[in-house]
Amino acid sequence: MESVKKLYNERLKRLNTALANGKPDRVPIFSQTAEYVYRIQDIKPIEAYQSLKVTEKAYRNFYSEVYFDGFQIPVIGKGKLDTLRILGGGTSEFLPDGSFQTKPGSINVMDSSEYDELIKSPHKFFIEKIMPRRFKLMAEEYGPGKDEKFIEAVKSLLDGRSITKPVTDMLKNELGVVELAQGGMYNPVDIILDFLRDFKGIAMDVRRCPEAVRDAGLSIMDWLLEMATMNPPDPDRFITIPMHLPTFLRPKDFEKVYWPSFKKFAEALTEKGYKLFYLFEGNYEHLHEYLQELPKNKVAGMFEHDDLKLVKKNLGEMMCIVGGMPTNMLYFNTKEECIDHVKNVLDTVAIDGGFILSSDKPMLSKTDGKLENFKAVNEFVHNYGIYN
Amino acid sequence: MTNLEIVEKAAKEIFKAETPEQIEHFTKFLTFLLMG
Repeated sequence: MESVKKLYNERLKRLNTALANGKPDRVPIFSQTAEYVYRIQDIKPIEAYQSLKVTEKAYRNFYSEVYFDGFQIPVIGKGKLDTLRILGGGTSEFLPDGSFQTKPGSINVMDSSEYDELIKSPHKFFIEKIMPRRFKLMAEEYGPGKDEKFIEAVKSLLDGRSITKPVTDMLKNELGVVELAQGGMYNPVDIILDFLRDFKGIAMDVRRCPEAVRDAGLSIMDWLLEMATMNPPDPDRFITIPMHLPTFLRPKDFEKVYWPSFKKFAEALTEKGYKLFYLFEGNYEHLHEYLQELPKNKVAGMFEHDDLKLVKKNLGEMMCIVGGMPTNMLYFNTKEECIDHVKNVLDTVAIDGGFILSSDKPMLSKTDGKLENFKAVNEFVHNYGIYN
Repeated sequence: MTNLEIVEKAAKEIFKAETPEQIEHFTKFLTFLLMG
C-alpha cells in the first residue's frame, strides 16, 4: 500500500510539473482511452454500463497492462440512457451495444431570428424554447405526473455521474494512477454549435450575424462560469474543454465571434485558480497567434493535427503540450515505426519539459490502436523520456 | 405548471434549494446538464 502511495505521489508531481510547463523527472504519459478500454477486450460498452464489476475488471486489466501516469475516465453510463428514454429525445442516439452517436438532424433546433432571446437569458431560452423541441416530455401539455417524470430523469442522470467513482478509486489506490479531470466544460460559442445550430446553421450565422453569435457567446459565458465554478478549484486536476468550431473558422471570423468569450472565459477561470485542458480538435495552426494570449502556464492543450514542432515554437513558452501519438499510427503502423515516431517527438518537442505524451484524440474503438503498439510506445516513452 | 416551474421544482426537491438565488442557481445547473 505504501509503495502504491509513493508511486501515486511521484506520478502526481510529474504531471503537475509538466502541466505548469516545467521539466519533471520523466515525460508523463496520459490516457485518453474511453470506450477503447472495453472494445480492445471484446467487451460491449453496454455490458460495462450495466455492471460496475465489468467496468472495474476492464479498467484494472487494461491499466495493469499499459503504462500510464494519469487518466480521465468517461462518465457516460446507464444514467444518461435512462434519462433520454424518460425525456424522449436528445441529441445522442444509443446503439444496442451501448455505443452512442449524434442523432442526425437533432441539433439545429434554434432559428437564427432567436439570438436576442438566447442572449437575454440563455438558461431560460433552453428551458422554454429548446427543451420542448428536443424532448417529447417537455413538449407535452402539463398533466399529472409530468413533473415527477422530469425529476426521475434528472435523478437518473445525477446518479450516473457518480457511478464510476469506485473505478477511479481502484485506479488510484491499487494501481497508483492519477485522475486528472475535475470535470468537463464547453467554450461558450461551441454551445451554439453543439446544441443549438449545428455546423450549417452557425456557419451561416457567422457570415450573416457575427455580432449576435459573439454576444450570445458572452451571455452564455456568464452561465457557464457559474456552472464551472460550482466546485472549488482542485490544484491537482483540470477542467477539460473540447474545442469544436475554431478549426473551421478563418482567423478574422474567429477573432470576431469566438475569441471574445473564449479569452474572457479562460481568464476568469484561471484567475479563480482553475487549470484548463483544451482539446484542440482538428488543426489550430492558423490560430496560434491568438492562443499565445491565453493565461501563461495555466492551460494545457491536446493538439490533434497541428505540427507539434510548430506548436512548440509558437506556444511552448506558455502552455503544456499534450499529444504526440496519432491513433492511426497506433493502428496501421508497426511497433518499430510507432516507436521511431514517438522518439522523434520526445527529441524535438518534449525536450525541455512542458509536454505530456498522449494519443492525439480520445480513443473509442479497436481501430484507434493495436494493443501491442500502445503498450510498446508507452513503455518506450516511460524508459526513454527521462530528463537530466 | 410551465417547464420553467418544473425545472425549478426539481431544483428545490433534489438540491433542497430554498432561496430564490439557490433555486435559480440549481435551475441553471439542471439546464446545463440537459442541454443535449
